Amino acid sequence: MLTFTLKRLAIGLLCLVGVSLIIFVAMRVSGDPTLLLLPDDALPEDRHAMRVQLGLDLPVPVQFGVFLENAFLGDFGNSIRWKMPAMSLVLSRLPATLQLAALAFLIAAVFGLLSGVAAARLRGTVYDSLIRFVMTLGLALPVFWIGLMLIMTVSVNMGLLPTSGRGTFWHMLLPAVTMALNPAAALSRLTRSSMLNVLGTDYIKLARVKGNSDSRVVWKHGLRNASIPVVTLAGIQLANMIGNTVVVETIFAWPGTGKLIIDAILARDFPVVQAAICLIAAIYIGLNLLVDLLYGVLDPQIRY
Amino acid sequence: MNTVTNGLAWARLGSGWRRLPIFPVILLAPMVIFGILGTHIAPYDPGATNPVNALKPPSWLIGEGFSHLFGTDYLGRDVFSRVIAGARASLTVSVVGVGIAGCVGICAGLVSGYFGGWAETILMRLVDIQMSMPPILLALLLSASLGTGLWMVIFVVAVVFWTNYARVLRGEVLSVRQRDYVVMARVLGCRSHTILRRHILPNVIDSALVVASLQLGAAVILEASLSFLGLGVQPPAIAWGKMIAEAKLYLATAWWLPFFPGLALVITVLGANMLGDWLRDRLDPKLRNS
Amino acid sequence: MQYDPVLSVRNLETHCFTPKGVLKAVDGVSFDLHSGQSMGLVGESGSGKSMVCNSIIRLLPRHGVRTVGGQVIFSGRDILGISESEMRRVRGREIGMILQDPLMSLNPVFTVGNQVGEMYRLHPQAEDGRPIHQRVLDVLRKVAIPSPEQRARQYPFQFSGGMRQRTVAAIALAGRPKVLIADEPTTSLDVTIQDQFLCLLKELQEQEGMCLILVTHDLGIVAETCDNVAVMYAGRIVEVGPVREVLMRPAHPYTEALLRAIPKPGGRGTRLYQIDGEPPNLLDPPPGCPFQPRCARAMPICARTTPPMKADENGRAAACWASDIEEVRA
Repeated sequence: MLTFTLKRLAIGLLCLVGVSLIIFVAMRVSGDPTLLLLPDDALPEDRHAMRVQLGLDLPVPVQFGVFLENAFLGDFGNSIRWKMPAMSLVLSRLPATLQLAALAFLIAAVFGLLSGVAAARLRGTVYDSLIRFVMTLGLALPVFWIGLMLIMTVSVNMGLLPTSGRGTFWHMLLPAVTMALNPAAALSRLTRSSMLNVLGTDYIKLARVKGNSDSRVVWKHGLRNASIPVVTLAGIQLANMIGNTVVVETIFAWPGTGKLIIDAILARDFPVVQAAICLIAAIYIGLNLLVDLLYGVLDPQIRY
Repeated sequence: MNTVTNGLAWARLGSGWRRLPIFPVILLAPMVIFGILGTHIAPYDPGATNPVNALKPPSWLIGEGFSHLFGTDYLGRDVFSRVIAGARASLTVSVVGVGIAGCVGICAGLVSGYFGGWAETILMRLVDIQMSMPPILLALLLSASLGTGLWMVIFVVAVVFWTNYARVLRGEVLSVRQRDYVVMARVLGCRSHTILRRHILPNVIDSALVVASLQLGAAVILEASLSFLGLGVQPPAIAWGKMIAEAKLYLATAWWLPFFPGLALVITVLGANMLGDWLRDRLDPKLRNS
Repeated sequence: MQYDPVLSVRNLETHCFTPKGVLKAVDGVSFDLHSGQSMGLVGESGSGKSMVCNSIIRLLPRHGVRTVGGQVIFSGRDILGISESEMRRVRGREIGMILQDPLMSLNPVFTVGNQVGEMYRLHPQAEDGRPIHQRVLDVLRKVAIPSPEQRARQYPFQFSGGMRQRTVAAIALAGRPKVLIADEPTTSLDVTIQDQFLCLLKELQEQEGMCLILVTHDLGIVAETCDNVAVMYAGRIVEVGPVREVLMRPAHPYTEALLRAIPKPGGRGTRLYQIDGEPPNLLDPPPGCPFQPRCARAMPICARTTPPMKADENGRAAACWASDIEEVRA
């Protein structure tokens, strides 16, 4: 178990280096940062001084080395727009994003699991078809559109919830529901098919033969087996959610990392973009590792 | 998939055509027609402004017949015509993008699955690295640094989606290459590219097709998200995501502005997803959980 | 008979409702099981043996399969008519069952001890005051699982096929049922393990005084293990009687054919007998006796009227116009 974890951590670190390389290259391709940092009418000498100061006069591989070294120390340079260390800026916005993602994930997991199990138990009935149709539809709804539609109906027309910003729980509800919709649909569909597979097995029949009630058969004997593929998907969905915050936070003006990334991209504030994406990639990798470890807990046959 | 020659997807679909996927076809057909014919069938020039007639609700709701089915926007442009025109960007980006991703991903999958070695190591590490980033962030990073425009968006879509093909195809190739007829062909001294083309590709192309169809909907959403965030195709090209973004200011007054482009988007994605489900159930049920 | 039977199945009818029509999977099956008796239920695959067992314990596939008629009288009441929650107390506690595939019938994510112990948690009326853990070890010992303390903490995948089957038997025994149904319990085991398991089953049945219904397609197993045998064909019982008599002197041509199809020692070089034709299509059964199209002794009446069960005083019965059973009318 420990060796497995360490090995996966090492691979994760390598991936992070890879991600840094991608970000580094993307930054290089996008043009000369001094054009952004200095006014248009700056003197060529000043520009050159700036390049030397930023280390841009060094050979590219050396630049990457320096970038990597600084990145591992958490130093991504200063935000061009906000004039403060990029990483601390990103970190200051992170709690808001995590809070939102956590609530959204909770909603998605509960709703997806319950509806998936319900559909499996009601297999072949009208309710099953209804749940499946709703979930297929749910999977096709673009996050940004459904967010706007919710704002329009729930907030603007009915005046039930605030349209944007952060403050109370009620501020969080609409963005979280918006974000939860797609993952809930995906989880529901997978839970249903996985549960149906499990319910057809002999060990489920034996559980019935033993005299278990239907709900005990499903929740005790079925769910843990059925949840093994679902956990993988849930991990992917949680990770994707952190990506999706970019869109959702923009719509709801939620002051989190996602909104920060978009603002930084539109303002060409690359240090912030790099810091945020590196951090999110690190979270992403950590979540994937967590899912793999959870696997071992759920399925006793997996021993690392 | 026991024989060498029946690998072609269409052969297996044979009996299936009698049970056409009616629902997906009904959903997708109008979008495809809009995408191809576009402005030729639109009732108005989608770019023509008419400030006098701005922000009119759908005509059939205010008793004006069929003049502006989906209403008009803040510049008086006909929303219905713009929705029709927007289909082109959406379909072009997703189909071409997923297609290019397919070509690249299939090659990568074949090479890494069949030859293994350093090519496999490099390709699969690349896949790992890319998969440690949320796709939307990768897309944003690329658009931000490379710029926008139709071909850039297509490139972004291709970059985001090639990894899935590579992963799935590599797994398939690994299992196919163990089969007797492939081993036999190698023993008989067939050249690698002949084996790949004649024996392996036909047997894994089904999976690629399924992956492609399942990704189509995701690509449509990605394109729309990028244009919503202002990083998609640029004016004068029309994109649904952009229309929705422009409508943000009119949420309280003109619901039809964000509603109809979004509806078109939902219909397209729903159609594509259902087509993907249908193909997967027919061709490759083992991909169900992926 | 001086005692009431423990389990009495009367005219059981279970139908599958398919898009192509109604399939009579179990078509009027009747038999009695007396205290301590064991009965073999024999027939080809698809003859409805498993369906009979699933109908008795009321665990049919949810859709399209229903018991439409008959009675299953157990401890004086018709268990086809009781509520589902009452039925749950019958399952496991009164009627136990061993499923076909031992590799698949244990839940992979729970320890063996947990799965055996669940029987005691589900049926506390079987309680005798001792802690569950202790009783789990006892029952594991009973089915000859070595070092049960250790084994109880393991997961099914760490068990061999034979051990898993014995664990399933332990689960069945834990409820101390009056009737144990074993649905082809040995088909997926090695031959040597098969014998071991059948001996164990026989031994336990005698020790506990249970009734046993052993479903199999192997007449040899029946000969070794059972007191009585019922032969099924096309959803009906065609012959029933004490094992020795039926096997020595089959009254139904189908039983006879089954017996001839068993390879005999020393029979090398001779072609193995094979029953001509195919089992009937149950969606569209032939008129009259279902075996008549394949029967060597078919007579004109066979194609017209289904033969009734003729029973003699020793409990032998057969449904054949040509049988020489002397019918006794009560």
